[in-house]
Amino acid sequence: MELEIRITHNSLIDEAIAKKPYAISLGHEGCLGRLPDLDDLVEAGKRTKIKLVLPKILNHSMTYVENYIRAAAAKLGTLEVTVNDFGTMLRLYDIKGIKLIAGRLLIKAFEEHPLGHLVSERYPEEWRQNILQSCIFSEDKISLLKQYNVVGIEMNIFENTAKALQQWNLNEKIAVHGFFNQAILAVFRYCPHARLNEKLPPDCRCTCERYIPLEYVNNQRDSNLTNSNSCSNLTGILDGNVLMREVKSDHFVKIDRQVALYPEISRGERIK
Amino acid sequence: MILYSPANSIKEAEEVIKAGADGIYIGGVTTIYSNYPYGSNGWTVGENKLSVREFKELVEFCHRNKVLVQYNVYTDCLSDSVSAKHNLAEYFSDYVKFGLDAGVDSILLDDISAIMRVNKIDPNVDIHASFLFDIVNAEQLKFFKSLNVKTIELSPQLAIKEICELSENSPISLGLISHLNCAAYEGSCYIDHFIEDDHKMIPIGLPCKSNYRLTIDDKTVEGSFIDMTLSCSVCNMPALINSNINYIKIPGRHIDFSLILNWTMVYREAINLLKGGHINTGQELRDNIIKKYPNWNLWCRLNRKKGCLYDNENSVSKFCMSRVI
Repeated sequence: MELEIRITHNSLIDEAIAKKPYAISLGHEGCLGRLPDLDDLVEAGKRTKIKLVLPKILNHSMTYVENYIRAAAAKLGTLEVTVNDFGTMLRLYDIKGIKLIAGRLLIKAFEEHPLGHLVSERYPEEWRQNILQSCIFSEDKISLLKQYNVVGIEMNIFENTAKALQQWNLNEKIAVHGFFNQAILAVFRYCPHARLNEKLPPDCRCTCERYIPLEYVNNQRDSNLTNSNSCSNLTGILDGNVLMREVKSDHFVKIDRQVALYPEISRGERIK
Repeated sequence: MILYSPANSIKEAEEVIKAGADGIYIGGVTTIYSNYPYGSNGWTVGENKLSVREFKELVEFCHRNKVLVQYNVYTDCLSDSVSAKHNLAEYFSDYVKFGLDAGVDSILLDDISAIMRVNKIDPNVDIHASFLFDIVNAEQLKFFKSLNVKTIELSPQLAIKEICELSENSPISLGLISHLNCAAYEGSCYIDHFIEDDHKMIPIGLPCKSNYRLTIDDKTVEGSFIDMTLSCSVCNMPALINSNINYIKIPGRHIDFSLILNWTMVYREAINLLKGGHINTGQELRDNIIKKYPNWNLWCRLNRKKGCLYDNENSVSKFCMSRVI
């Protein structure tokens, strides 16, 4: 199994390469501002395999993204690009040298929902896996993605998805890049980091260099509903405009690549 | 422009039609989907207690009143099953056929394999792509058109300028949630509207508006950091009417029905005033609406005009109501 290291800030490129992964991924599922400068990308690409992670691309950014990817692909020869909306997939799929990966915002699973298990318990036991497992287990969906040169998917490998992976031998149909330690809870259009620091792009680029734990306090309408263990499903860790939650999954199954965050979110420490 | 409102019974349909809705949207009658989350935040369509006969009567009632019925088939994470006996996708097909047999006008879907399945059932179905697809760029419009989708609901996260830009050259009919929207992109949001207590799901209202605590170094800050549920589109209605937006929708099958009626009446009034040709600007429209519905001023006082965050950079810091503790 290959190891990919997803770094949260471009200043970590050297540290990540020193760990000798198969690839490092740059960019962010929530913010286009986290793409590296083209020169930095090309420099890193000379030293290791690179995957670029794109968020949902707003209309006015689409041409910029296309030009950036074309230039990067031309300079590096080949480049993996994770897309998180079908429009970006459509725009980029025929660029020479590009290998598209469908990102986690497209490959959802109800078991990533913190209370998904409670919903599934309303069903008979034999139904639950089908409800909780990833939505990628659909022949129609896989064949559609392949039509657009999508060669791989990113997905969280939690219990029910891991079972389905074994039953389906999914990695024989499409490459699977799996996450084992965190899930995305939400992506905000408007970045809490930027709001907190009262900055806007591009000035906010340095404000999200660290993870910030977000803890539920109370509901503004009902002060009786205050933070307790029962509200743990509402807490998470902010990585820019993405709210994540840490998950310990030990459902190791045969996949093509493991993606690990660097630094791990549990460290929550300042990044220079 | 068509105005859709939710209705879960013939009585509710009567009332929203009287309030000015041109269309209603509703979920079907099912045991399997009654527990299925229709959005990512855990709400279910299970409140609908119609019988099969009542559902068909509801559709007929709407059609007699020249009102459209949009059938909501939210599956969120539809996948095939290795077990033929417990295949959710097969139940999905039955659920779709039930609505088609009852005569619904369109089907609202939120998953691409669901779209492909409906196309196999009947390629002539009027498929609408839900706002849960988070549609924010023109390429997505082309992509969904290629899947035989007839109408697309744009992401409520878009600013009015972006909506107008997308609608200008859209190859496909567009819809929009007119009132309220979430803080996060809806299609990929797993922030619960519930907490778990004694193995039960307890509703807590809107988590986006709740207070959160952030700890950075030795500083702790409390506030509504993720609150940006910008709500009101009234001032934007002139721009929306002039754009290629085919329908607007009042959200909230789970919301107090009296609010649904109030919102339906206000947006109907707004559409009628603009169609009458005597009103041209958002300000004029707002003044007229508040004159007739004084409580609507609440949205203005709270600065909850949709799209204002993105349109006005100066409002960025004002909107983040935080305090250091």
